[in-house]
Amino acid sequence: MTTEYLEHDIAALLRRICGRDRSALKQLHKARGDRLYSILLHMLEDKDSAELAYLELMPRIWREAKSFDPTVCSSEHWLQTRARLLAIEILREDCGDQPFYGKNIGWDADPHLNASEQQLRHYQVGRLNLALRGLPVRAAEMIVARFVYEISLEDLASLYNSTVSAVRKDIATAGSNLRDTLMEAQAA
Amino acid sequence: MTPDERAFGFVMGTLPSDESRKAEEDLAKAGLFREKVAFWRGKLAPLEPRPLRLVKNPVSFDRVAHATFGDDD
Repeated sequence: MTTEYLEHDIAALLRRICGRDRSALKQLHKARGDRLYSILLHMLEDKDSAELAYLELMPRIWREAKSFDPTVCSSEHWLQTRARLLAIEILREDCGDQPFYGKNIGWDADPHLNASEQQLRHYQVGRLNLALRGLPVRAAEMIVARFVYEISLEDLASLYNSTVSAVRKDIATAGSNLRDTLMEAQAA
Repeated sequence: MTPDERAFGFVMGTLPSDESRKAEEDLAKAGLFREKVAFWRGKLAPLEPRPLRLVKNPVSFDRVAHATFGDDD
């Protein structure tokens, strides 16, 4: 029989992990291991890398569970953000001069869109990728990390060794540049 | 801050909490701010994440325990 873990169950596991309860980590692995591994695989696109990343993620959760604050976000969000942040860190180590997400943001055909809508989406993604490539790598990464992966400003500040106010300002500047590029493309 | 910058900040979730609350109120009203927010949501929509395909985790807890506690708990 599969046990379903609800939000309060996972939050309780995180609290027990804070209390150094090893069995709680085992339960968390059982309850959310598939999902966390899937996020890593989805972002890293390589099974071996995802396995190694998972073995790095769980010790981090063990160490960092005390930073989980249920008044700020849900336990699901907190866990998934840990996985995404780690994947971004790993991707950044290997990406050289490219943004962590590669040269372009990828997209999958949405079965809910008809042929002309798919064509429009393809065009929009192309325009966005072009606009993102016009930004400094760090700025483009921040926009993608924030919008696509819902990384908090605090976590972004930590990731880029910056401050929350500086990250907020960087994203605002990037947004202004992105808008200008998109508008120029629209006018052309 | 221009209405456009404010709308971008709102969509990106980078507005300070008090400004964000005010922006929520403004969004409920018809007007320039609502148009700007719709503009940005439309432009950024293609960036929305691909659906996650759930797969079985191949990592055993023994390996996790070894990585976490340095033993074979």
